[in-house]
Amino acid sequence: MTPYLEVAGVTKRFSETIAADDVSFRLDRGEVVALLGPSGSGKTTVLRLLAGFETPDAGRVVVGGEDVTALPPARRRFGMVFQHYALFPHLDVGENVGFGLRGQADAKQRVDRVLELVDLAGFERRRVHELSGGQQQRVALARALATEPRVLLLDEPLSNLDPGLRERTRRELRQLIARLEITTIFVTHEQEEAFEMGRRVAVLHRGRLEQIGKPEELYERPATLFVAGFVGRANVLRGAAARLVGGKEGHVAVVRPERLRFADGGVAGVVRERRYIGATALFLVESDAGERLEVLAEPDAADVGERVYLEATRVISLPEEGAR
Amino acid sequence: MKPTRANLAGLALVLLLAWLFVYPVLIVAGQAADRAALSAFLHRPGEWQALWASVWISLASVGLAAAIGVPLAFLFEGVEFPGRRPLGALVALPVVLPPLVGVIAFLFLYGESGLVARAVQGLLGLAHAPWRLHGAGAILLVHAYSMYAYFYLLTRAGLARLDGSLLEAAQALGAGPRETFTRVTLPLLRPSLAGAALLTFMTALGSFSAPYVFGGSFRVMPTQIIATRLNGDLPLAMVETIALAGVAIVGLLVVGRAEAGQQGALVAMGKGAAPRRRAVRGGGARALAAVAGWVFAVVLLLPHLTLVLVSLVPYATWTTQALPPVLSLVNYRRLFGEVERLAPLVNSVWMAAASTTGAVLLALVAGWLVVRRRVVTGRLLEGLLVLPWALPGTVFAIALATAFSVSRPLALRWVLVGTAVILPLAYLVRNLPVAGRAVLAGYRQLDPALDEAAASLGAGRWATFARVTLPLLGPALAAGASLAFVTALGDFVTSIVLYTYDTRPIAMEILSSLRLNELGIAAAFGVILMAASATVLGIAARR
Repeated sequence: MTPYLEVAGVTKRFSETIAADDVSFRLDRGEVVALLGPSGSGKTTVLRLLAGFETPDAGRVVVGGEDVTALPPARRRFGMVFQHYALFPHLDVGENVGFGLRGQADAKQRVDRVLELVDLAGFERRRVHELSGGQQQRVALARALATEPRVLLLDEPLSNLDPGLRERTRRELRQLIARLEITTIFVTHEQEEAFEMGRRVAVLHRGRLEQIGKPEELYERPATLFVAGFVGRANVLRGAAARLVGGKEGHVAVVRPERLRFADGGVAGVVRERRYIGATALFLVESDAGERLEVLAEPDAADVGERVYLEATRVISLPEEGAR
Repeated sequence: MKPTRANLAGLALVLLLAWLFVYPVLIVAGQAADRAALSAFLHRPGEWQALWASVWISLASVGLAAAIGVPLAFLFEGVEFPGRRPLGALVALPVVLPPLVGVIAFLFLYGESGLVARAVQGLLGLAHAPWRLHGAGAILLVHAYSMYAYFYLLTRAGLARLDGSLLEAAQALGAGPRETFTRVTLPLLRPSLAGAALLTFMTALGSFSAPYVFGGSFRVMPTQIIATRLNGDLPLAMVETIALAGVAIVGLLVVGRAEAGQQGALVAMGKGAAPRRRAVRGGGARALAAVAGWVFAVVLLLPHLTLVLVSLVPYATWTTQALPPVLSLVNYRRLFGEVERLAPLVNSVWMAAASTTGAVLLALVAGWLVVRRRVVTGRLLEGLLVLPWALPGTVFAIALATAFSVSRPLALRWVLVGTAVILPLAYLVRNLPVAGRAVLAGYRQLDPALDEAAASLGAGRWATFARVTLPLLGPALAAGASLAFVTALGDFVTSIVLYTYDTRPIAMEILSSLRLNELGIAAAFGVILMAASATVLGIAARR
């Protein structure tokens, strides 16, 4: 099956920094991919390159067989939800949602339909600044969907919401996207959000696409040390300690906290802290060699100050960063 | 009303301000209620012509100023080219330049013996100057040339505030560049444009220097008032003054309504990044933008450069040549060396300093009472602070001249006209809006928690004011005060009514130098005012 959206070797430089460095990935029709990375990793730049607000120095963007790399944003038919929503303050809700439908006979019906979709039926005549943050976010979504875009781009759409509201909105957003079966790219810097929203997650770091894959793959089989550390908690062991837990010679050993357990032999150390979480506790162990290791175990597995030995049930061996 | 000390202070301040400028205007209104004068006003065609001239000149000034200022703002805010920043600051100069300086600069450049006329005359071998600069056309030209700065500054500010993601959102929804402009950019700029229109209208309505110097027999209301007064028909002058004030208030209400409409909604949304300035790609377009910017700027600043040139021409050395044959600093030496010449400079400086200090102190007290103590009379105080802005300078000058030319202590009227007090007082009243706005806006931005933090750390009221409030208000205060200072330094419109020989300010000296054909001296005074204005602009820009 040919991919619906293809990003091939896209590169963008801003004076000194490389914001996107040879980024390539493909999406099937209706697939949802989350772009995950710390701030400054280039994820927003990649999104803007897709939307057409930036033109790449190299590479191309293809949608449904059409090369849109040189096309201005207005002619790409990509819908975008901005981080701060970018609702037009001089227009009411209905006019905002209908902005892209000017001159279309069924504009009114389509505005009604998408407003209903985001649960804002009857809000047409409201001024946007009278709405709550969550409602504004939904208006922005409705506006992007009204033009029936080929690809939906979401730039940290949940980052301006309160934590409680964020979780609920995230679920509703995920269900809506699934129902519409719209090809979607979702930018976020939060791992949990990326895992919930994206069928696949693409991790960006310093403009480079480090890895793209299902959440399980990223967690269990990270391709790089950066991905291992950025996605989930990770104990990074080198040298003798790496050999002790069973890592590959000359590689760095990465062990998730739940993959370490207290045993009779292995890496020796002393429990320095115990953080009670509920069903489990996180133990901070300082090894004799001075490494600080996190262990997730039963709350009563060890006491602070106790001398313990640790062994790993699963080790991820990765080459040293920069050795690639 | 709770009789707290703050409320009493608020009331006292309201009464003081009302006495300073509301009461005098009411006295004028009282004297205007004179049957003979009213009848004269209603039946003389000259009166109606002057009133109508004031209105249409002001409206035309708005149109012309917009035609220059708005494209200029788009050029300087939207396109990156070499020299953009310094030129962009310089073309804003007219906004702080005393009007009389702009007028004489114009005279020296485009007047019948100005640089351009001489050049044309020489080129075509004419016996006489090719044109005379006078009448409505000349006034409009000067207005357009100086008042574009309001449109320029406010449009630029509006563009800078514009959330760039709004423009991108429009594009993502399928709007091309032109559609984005008409459906998003322009509606969002509406408050800025309305604000600029209001400022231009009020300034043009009160404009005195240009009609006085270029008007001749073409009269607008402010020059008509002065002429009537000079003829000794005081009651008629009062009626004219009230008529002018009436037009100003109507203009304020009509144009002001358009401005107030949307402001709130737009400010509430201001998030996100400013639109990125397009670095124009391609050598041709880039060069074109740069050339357009430079040509614009040079044409707009040419009168001011001419002023500098003329200030270097010694007396009676420039007769028929196209360019002055002799240049020297002799005018400046005379200006600072001759006691008679130095006096106006000294007068203007001390009067401007005194009036600015007074206005700032009053504004600080008012700001503290309104914002921090939330006194009952808060809204009234705020209204009073900005009221002088709504009335043309001529109205105030006549009002103060009328109210304080008799001694009736029981009616709170004393003879101040003819003393050294009246001009600083007039300047103070005119400067209240500038100082008041700066202080109130500054106070509103201050988090009251800072005061509380200072108090919890043991600072008393005065220590808090000196160590927290004042330093934080500093930049706004400096900008407001320096603008007030320069306005007073170059004041012409109130000075011409209220000055005495001993307190004659710079503007009056410029005028008499022109009459004596001492063009170099007049220009040198103009250059000093211009330098002061440029300094103010620098202070404001640093904020």
